[in-house]
Amino acid sequence: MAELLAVAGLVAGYGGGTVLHGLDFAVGSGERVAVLGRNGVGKTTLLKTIMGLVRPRAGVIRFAGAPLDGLPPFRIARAGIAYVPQGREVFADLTVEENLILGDLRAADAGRAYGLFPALAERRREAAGRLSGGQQQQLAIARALMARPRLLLLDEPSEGVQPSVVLELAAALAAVATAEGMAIVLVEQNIDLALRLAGRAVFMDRGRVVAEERTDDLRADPSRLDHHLVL
Amino acid sequence: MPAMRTVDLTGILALALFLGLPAVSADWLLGDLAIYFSYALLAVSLAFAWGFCGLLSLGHAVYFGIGAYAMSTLTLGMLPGLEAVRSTWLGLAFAAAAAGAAAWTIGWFTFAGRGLHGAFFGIVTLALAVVFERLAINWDWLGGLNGLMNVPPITLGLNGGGLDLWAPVPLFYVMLGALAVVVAGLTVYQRSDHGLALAAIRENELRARALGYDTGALKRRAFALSGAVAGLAGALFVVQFGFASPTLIGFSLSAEALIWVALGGRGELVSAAFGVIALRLLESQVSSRLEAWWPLVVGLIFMAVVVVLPRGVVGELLYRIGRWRGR
Amino acid sequence: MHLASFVLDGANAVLILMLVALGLAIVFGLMNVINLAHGEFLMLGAYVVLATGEAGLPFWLGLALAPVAVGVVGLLAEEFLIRHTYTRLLDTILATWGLSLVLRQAIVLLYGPGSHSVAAPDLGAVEIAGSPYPVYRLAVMAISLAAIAATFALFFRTRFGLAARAVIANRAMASCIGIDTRRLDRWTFSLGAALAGLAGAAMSPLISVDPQAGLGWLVPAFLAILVGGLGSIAGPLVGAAGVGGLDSATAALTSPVWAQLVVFVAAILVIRLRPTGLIGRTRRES
Repeated sequence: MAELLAVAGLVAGYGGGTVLHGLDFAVGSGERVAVLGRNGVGKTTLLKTIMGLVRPRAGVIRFAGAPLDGLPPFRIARAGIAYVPQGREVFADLTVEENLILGDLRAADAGRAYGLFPALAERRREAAGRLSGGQQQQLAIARALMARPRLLLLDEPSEGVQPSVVLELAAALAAVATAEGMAIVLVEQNIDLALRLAGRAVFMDRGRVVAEERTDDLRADPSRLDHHLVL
Repeated sequence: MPAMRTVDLTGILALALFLGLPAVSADWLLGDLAIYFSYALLAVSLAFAWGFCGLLSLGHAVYFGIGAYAMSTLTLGMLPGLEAVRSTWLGLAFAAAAAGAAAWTIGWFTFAGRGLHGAFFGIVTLALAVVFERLAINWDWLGGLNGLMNVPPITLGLNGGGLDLWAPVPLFYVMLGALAVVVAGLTVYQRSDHGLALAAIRENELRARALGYDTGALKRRAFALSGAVAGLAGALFVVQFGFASPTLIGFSLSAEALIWVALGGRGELVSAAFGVIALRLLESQVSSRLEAWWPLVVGLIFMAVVVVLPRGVVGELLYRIGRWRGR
Repeated sequence: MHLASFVLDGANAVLILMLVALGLAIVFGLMNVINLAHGEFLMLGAYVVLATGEAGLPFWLGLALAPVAVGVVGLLAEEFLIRHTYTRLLDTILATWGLSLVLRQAIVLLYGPGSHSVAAPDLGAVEIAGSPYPVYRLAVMAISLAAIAATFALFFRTRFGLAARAVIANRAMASCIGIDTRRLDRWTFSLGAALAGLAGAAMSPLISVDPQAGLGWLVPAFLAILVGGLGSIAGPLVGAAGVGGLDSATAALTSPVWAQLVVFVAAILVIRLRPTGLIGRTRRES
């Protein structure tokens, strides 16, 4: 499996502090990886640094062979990475349709998104801020998918979303990912969702990747999970 | 004994230099420098407000002008009920108080609650300068466009009597003394607990507020202090210059003050003081040759300095020397 | 006592102020840049008309050329100045302020510090409520309205406008979904400058064309934005209506000097009582 995303020795942080202390991480083409760990270990920072929202101080990030570090987020997005942040960050005052079109300004319409998430079509003229948590999550993901990314970064998609909707989202994502060969990096506290969607899980602690497991193994032996998360 | 900070060392060396200057230089230079020292006081007040407290005042000459007019109206006996009062000392106090009060009032309007975004505070101060200048031009009691003339010089007596200070050498020393005392005093204040709180507000107001500081009150007080110093500067200017006019309160002088502080350096009071003195000396030499091009050249240099040398020319120099010395 | 012409003149001033405030607000909303040279863009627009007039070209050509020329100046300013001070907000203000100084001085060098006048095209006058009113002034109002409407159309009916609104709402997220924020910055700043240039050009026969002309519009425009509030496109318009209306009314009843003072005091009172402006909403700071 060709390496789509390769992160080596990544050091990054905010202001004066450092959050990532030399992190190594790789994602293969079409692969789905879950990033697990306690709060504050740097999972969100990792995604933000890949996306260019945080400037790395050291280390390399390569995507499809080309270096990403130092590029502004929109160039990274155009290279084929999409980001759905924690809290979704839909444009609350814009309509559902406007949000979706923003995902791909060259698209004629938002048909692709409505095909993936029919429920959104019913609310196309509503302001995005009025949607429920689950609907906003659908919207944020649909917006990201409009651009047909090769890599999707998801930060805690289950937060504030009903469990039933979470399952639907997981199913839809798995379907799209498989059909289009899209890779996914998923930061999650909801272990169930993580195991369901991903094939591999990496565990982070204090700004580094400290362990790695196949999710099949974790499902077979849950005690390994506790082992990695408690340490 | 720990080595002295570069800034302090520079200030003391400069003071020593200036103290010895009258022995070797001509009277006209001393006279010019005495005026520049009052400008330097204005620059210092702006550097304190802007560089130290993070309050970008685009119309700072207002307080200078208020001080000048306050001093003038008092010592000219124009204030109803106070016609007999001619005291320089009272004039200075009145100037500082009036200017400080004006600054405090502006602070009260703009620092309330979450306060105005820094840039909008700047606009309000600019608008104030524009409005006040127009008022001064149109107010006959203040002399209108021509201003107030024949403002008496500094008199050392308690109420007008005593020695008149208009000779270049004593005036030079008085102005130098005033500048030195103010810079020293403000520096002490900056390094006190209050000063540290203000620096924290400058860095991150939200965090300072979260830590429990009443940021609005602190900023008001600091801005009032800055205004008072500027008012003092205006009063000291007008006793030398002899007349107060609307240009002292308006947009042009405010713009110049910003240039002085940006070019000299907003981070340290000493840099700002040096900046204006150096710039003024340079201007007196060069501007007759460059004439109308001089403001354009200064403007371009200003833009370049803002982009490339945010610490200012003198400030950058002090910073590098400081790094080299390790302090 | 021509009430009708007084009201129309006031409406004129309000519409122009709306145009100026709109350009300023768009630049601030999108780029978080307070452009203190905005008034100078207006002044430049007026001088373009002066220059084309002196070159013997028709007035309408000057009017059409002004926004383009000033837009180019804005583009250059963004590219060579603003872009380099981005990370330091207060320094951006200073940089634009320096730009305003330089632009003013450049005009002084080219045209001298005094004022000039531009002749209005002779379109005659029209009877309104019993007294003649110059058609040109009506044309100015029409131009302002058209420009404001066109700006709204750009923002609410085009993909460019959609991208701009996204950036205004949440700059970081907009960049993450692939919007080229730098290109948008450049064109937005240029648009803001062009709007000011158009306003200046349209007003040129009605004002004193001198290097200080810009300042007289900058302060009211900013007060309008402060009073109206940020966070929505309507805020600056509401603020301009308030500020401009109060200014015109007070000036007519007393004098321009009092008007300036009254407007200033009223503005800072409003700001004190409602810091986010009359119809302001809190914006997401990125």
